[in-house]
Amino acid sequence: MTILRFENVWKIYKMGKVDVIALRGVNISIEEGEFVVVLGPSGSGKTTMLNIAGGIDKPTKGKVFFRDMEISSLNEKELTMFRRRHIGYVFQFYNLIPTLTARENVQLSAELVDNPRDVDEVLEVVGLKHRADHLPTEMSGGEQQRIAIARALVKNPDLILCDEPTGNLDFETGKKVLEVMRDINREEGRTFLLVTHNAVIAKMADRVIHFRDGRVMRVEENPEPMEPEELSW
Amino acid sequence: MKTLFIKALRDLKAQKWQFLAVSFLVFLGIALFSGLYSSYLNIEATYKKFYAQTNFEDIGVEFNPAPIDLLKKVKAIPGVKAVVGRLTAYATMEIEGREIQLKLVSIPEKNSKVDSIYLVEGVYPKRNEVLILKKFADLNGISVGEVIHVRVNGKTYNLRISGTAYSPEYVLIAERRNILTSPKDFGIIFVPYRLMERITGLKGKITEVHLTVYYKDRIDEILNEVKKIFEPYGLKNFYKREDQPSYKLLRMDLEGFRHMALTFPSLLLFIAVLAIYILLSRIVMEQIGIIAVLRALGYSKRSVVIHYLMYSILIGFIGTSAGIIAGYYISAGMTSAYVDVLNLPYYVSKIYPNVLLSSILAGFLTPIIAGIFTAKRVAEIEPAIAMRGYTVKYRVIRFERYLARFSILTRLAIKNVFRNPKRTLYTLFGVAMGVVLIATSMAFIDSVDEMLHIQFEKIQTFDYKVECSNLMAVKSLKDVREAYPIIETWILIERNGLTKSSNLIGLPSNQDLYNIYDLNGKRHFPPPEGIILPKYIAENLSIAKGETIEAFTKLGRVKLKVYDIIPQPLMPVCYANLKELERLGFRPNEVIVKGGNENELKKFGTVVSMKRLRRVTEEMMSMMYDFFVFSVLFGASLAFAEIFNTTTINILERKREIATLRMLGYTVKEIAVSLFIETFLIGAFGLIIGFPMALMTLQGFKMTYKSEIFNMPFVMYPRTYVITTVIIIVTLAISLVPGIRYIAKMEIDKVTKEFTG
Repeated sequence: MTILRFENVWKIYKMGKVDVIALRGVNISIEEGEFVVVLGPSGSGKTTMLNIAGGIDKPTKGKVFFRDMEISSLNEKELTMFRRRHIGYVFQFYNLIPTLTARENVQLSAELVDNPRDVDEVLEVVGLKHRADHLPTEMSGGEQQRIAIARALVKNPDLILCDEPTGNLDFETGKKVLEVMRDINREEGRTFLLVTHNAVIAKMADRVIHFRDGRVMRVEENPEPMEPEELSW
Repeated sequence: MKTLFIKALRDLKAQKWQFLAVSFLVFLGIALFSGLYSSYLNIEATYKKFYAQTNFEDIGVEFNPAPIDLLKKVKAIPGVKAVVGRLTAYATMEIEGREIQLKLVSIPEKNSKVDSIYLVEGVYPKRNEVLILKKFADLNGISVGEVIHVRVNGKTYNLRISGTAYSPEYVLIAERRNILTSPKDFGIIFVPYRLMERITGLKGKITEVHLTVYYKDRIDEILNEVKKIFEPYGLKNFYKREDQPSYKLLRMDLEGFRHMALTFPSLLLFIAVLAIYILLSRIVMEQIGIIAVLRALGYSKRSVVIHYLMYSILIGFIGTSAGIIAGYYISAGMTSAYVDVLNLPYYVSKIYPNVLLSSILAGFLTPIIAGIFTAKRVAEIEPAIAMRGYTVKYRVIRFERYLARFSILTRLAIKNVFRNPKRTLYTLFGVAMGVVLIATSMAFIDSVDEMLHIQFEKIQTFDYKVECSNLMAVKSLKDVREAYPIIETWILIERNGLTKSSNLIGLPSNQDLYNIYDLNGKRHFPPPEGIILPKYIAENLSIAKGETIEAFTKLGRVKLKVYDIIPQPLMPVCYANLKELERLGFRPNEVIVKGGNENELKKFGTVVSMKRLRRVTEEMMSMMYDFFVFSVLFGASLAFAEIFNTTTINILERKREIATLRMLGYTVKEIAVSLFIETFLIGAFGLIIGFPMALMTLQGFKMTYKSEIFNMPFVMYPRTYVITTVIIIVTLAISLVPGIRYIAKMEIDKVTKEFTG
């Protein structure tokens, strides 16, 4: 079943007198339970696509569907509710609240929904229950990113959007974060849409969408995705 | 939302000094408002209670001796509730070598139903006994049972003190012939009428009548009836309760107090709004990334806005609750200190729900107003920022060629001034407000000094004023260097039913001991004809220069031309040429003397020593002086909180940039110097615009801060400019300390890698 569908989506930014076209008629669809990687160089439009998918940006033209709901026509308030109920975010710079502990950062997200997952259980999933009472400044980058994943996961989201989640991590730590994501995808059947410019990561995806100049250049099926442990870059 | 609340608390903890600084501003505003305004209400409640308890008069009329039987006529006027007739006389007594001025006031055999005596200790007097004003007795160590020796018209009377008392007529002593009196050097003695008849030699006579009425709306009518009864004997003064000298002086003083209780805290809370806005907008700038994340997670705009308003509410809570508690103690202390200089037996001190409510409202509204402006910015932050990051755009002004001779850090400091105009403007404004607060408070002290300087070093330069007409005898004394005759008499000016009483001074033209100066320090000379009128009388009675006015004097009704109208500093009086007054029939009754010996001069009559008068005046001004010193300290602490806040935030928000400088190899000291140059440059601009702003504020005070006994010249001495500048520069330097300490301790590697938003 399709969880996300882009139909001829355009995004044009006005930069003073100049129009910058970030997306040029993008058509994609993501199936429930898939692990999809969007691959492309900087400025290719992949983050714009991710923002529109998550309802934090709106297309200039075209339609975006989440299951049967057209999210491109939702207003500000409805988009907030949409994000709250269906979307989990993982950012490149983790974006944890520095004054809150790991547990509190996850709680911050849990408080938004009616039936969140147990905070400690989610911390267990990312392997950091023992670090629950530490502040972000007391953790490594990898640990912070795993807390960010727990924060996304605790809401029980249907779709987890990740923007360069390993972009700020070293190779070993990056792999560990990807392992956590892969496990959640396999064990819980959650859909992941991961944006990166690192071609190696694409090897672990079920499907890879190649972006360039705001367009989908090609989509590759990956019949035998690699395990994150096997990756190297 | 519980976790967001925890975040707010943690943020507060992380920036506790900045939050404390702005909470301190709210605290000061609320403490001062609730403290001063409650004191004002306490004092008002105190004297209202006392006036009600002692049946304070509605009408008073003073006249030349008239038969006591006329009281029956007064009582018969419809609407009159109670009447008391009085005989009064001025006297002197000596205490430890000091000559003390006294006013003897007759009281009936039984306590009267108008202006009743409030007995504090002892008993109501019989025959040769008298009552004495409690505060005067205490200050001079006079106790009940003691016999005092009072001199009246050259005769000495031995009077036994039967008790101490207070009177509603003398809550503040306001005597026309000596407006500024100190409670220690001017005493009121209450003498039984029969004894007073003997002392004054005015058997069966009265010189004053005081009454209460049933209907306040008929008060003018009743006053006219009373005036008609005594006019044939020569009216000296008449007034309704609101013009009763003591009451009026008290009201004027209280009005000034009320004005102060409202203006100072308002100014403060206004500054607090700006300071809180600066702090909160900095926090928002710093947390743009976090806000975006919260929005991306699914927090609504409303909940994020409420989260940031929470800071305002917390600031309001801390500032207001501490302010109200401090305000209560300020109010109790202030009321007690204020009443201490008044002749009142007790004071009322309570909590006023309205003041409490206004304090809570003002205390919370101040940070919330600032918070709302910030919240607007929060609402505008897009969640997509969390994905793409946020960079603050800075303006770079290209004037490298002008700066070439400076070191790179100095260049950086200069460029930073122009980099973020909004931030520079905030700091500039913060410094300017600090200047306004300190300089204005100090200018109050300058103004009191200037007022005393004009009065005692320009206007009255003589050493003694002797009540006598024998000029030649005074002149012949060994140490007397100069002596001139003057006329000093009372005058009551009437215009359209309104009256103003004052002193009329006749001065010879050929002398420099008693000069006429206006508030601005300009000298005037005894007019060839007519009189020079004080500005407050002219304004109150709508009299213009050149008009002819009608006045009551001891010679009866006279017509006088208004030669000029001038504002005068202390104790404003009417001036005329000695010859002009002599032409009208007045005779010189005083001699002003330079040099001379007080004891020898006393042989001729009562002597007023200018040295003593200045001391008394300074004592009277001392409470005001204390208040201004308090204002300077307060202004300085406020300026410190304000500048500290702006400056530390300026540093903290650039921590990454500063860390980079350190990474490059710059020492903490070098960076500190650069920051000081930047802060000092902004501070210098702040001083430049702050002083004109302070002068404008002073002008505002000038419009409102004046009374019938003094008129502030409002000047700013050079010392104020120097001291204010020094305080501001030191404050700026101290404000840099926390930031510099932070720089010294910062973990450079971590800071440089932090996500900016």
